[in-house]
Amino acid sequence: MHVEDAKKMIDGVFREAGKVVIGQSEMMSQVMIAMLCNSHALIEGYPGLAKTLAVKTLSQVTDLSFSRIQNTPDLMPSDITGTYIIEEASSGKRSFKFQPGPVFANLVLADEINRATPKTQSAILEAMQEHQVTVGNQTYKLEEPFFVLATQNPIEQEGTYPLPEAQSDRFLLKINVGYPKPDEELAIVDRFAETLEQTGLRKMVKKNDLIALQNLARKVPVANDIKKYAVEIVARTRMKKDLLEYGASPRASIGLILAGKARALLNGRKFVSKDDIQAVAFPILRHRIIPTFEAERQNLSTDDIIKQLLK
Amino acid sequence: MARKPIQAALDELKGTVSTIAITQSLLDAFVVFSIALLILILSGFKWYWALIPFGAYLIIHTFTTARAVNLLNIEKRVPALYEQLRTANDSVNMDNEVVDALRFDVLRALRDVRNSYFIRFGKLTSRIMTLVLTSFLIIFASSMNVVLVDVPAIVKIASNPTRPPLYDINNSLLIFNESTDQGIYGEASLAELGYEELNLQINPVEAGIDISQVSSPEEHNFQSYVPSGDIQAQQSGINYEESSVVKNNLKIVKNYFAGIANGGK
Repeated sequence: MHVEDAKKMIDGVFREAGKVVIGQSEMMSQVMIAMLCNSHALIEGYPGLAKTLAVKTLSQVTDLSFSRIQNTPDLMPSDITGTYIIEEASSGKRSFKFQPGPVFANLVLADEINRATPKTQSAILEAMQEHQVTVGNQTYKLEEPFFVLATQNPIEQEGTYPLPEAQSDRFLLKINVGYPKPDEELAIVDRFAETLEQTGLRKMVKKNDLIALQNLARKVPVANDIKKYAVEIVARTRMKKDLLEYGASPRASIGLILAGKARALLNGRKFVSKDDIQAVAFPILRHRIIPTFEAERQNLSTDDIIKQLLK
Repeated sequence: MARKPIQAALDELKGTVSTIAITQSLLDAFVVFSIALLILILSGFKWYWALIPFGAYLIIHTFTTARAVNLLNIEKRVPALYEQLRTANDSVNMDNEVVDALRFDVLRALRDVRNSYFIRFGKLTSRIMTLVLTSFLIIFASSMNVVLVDVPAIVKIASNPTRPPLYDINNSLLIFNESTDQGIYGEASLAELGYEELNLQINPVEAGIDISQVSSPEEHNFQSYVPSGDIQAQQSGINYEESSVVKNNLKIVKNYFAGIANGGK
């Protein structure tokens, strides 16, 4: 597969998804970057901003098996991973049979992940990390490609279990979803308030194509200067003691390069640009740094601090 | 695609840019030399002191320029290749379809790169103009012997402030070296002559001619007609050998040689 073919394919996905999801191009791009990196993304935004719709639409246009987990405090790990059930054969013999949970899909939408208990969150995070699930004595491999796109709501924090920093580090990107522009919102109103018809979506990318795209993304070369720049940005998070209590781990450096490669491929480029690193620095770093009280006192958000780091 | 063409292309590009940069450094160094030379001439110093700033500037500037010749700076001059050159250079050892495609793009773009991209014509023109102007000033100052501030003289005065000279005269002329060499009076044998007559002969070949004493040629009018009364030819009747004068002289000569032959007796 050539870079030009990959670009056409990805553009086709966006074009097709755009029939349903209006605006939110930045979120769609970042979700696609996470998919090209064969990694996971945490999507944060207020309710009603098409987070779930975007993920569901992407699964439809990419020919991936899709499952949705609506996280609640009473959700058990076995509700996610699956469990053994007693199956009775025609001969009357009873045996345990593994019933796979919703995590056995290519694209898993973990809605409002911060509403699940830490134990349940851990079950999802283990699957994310290992791409396998262990139930009892048995380990089950998850089918590739495997992505978890988790959403969380920044408001209504009561009764939630925020993801610990160590666990949120497993997500390659933390995507902030903002409100659509007025003209986009007008188009949304026109689209969804005037008709009940479902838009028929074509599958633009097959499973194998997606794996080929992932392989191609990793082949995009990076100049040594750009690599040094990425590492330097992450190193700065550890040195800015006045605004950051904890900096990012080397996983962030790997993420910056990997996401930079994916963004380059997304834009049809055969090399990683400094702009790629700067663009992906926000979703890569914003859940990996912890601002100090001084930063909060100055009313600086994590994105504001990242902006300072990029200067 | 093989790895070699991109390596060769990048090396050639670096070589060309280095040559241009070093040439520009040399030109800059000449400008420094000419300005330094002009200042030194106007300050009364010797010209060769200008070689010091010239050499120092050439070495430092060439070193700095050579360090600045890197792919990042080349990319800045050729925006179409921005970040691609460095990536292609750093991924020389990689081989996959994306890297190959990048190399192909870079090689294609390199064909459109001109030397003029790396020559700053504005800077070059200003350097040449400065060089021309300072050259004219140097020629003028040298030919007219213009010295605005005679720094060496000032330094000399400053170094010996107790006895400032009253006049600007050449002190070497005031020094009288008394010689003890007697030879300056010539040969002693000549001095012994005393009041005796000294016959001197001047070798016309070695004699200097004082041009200032040579007057312009004067026209003389000679009489073409000589009156016959002044010169009268007489018929003596005897020939030259038979005259008494010749006979007497002949006798003297014979006696002289006879004397010599007899040992002066």
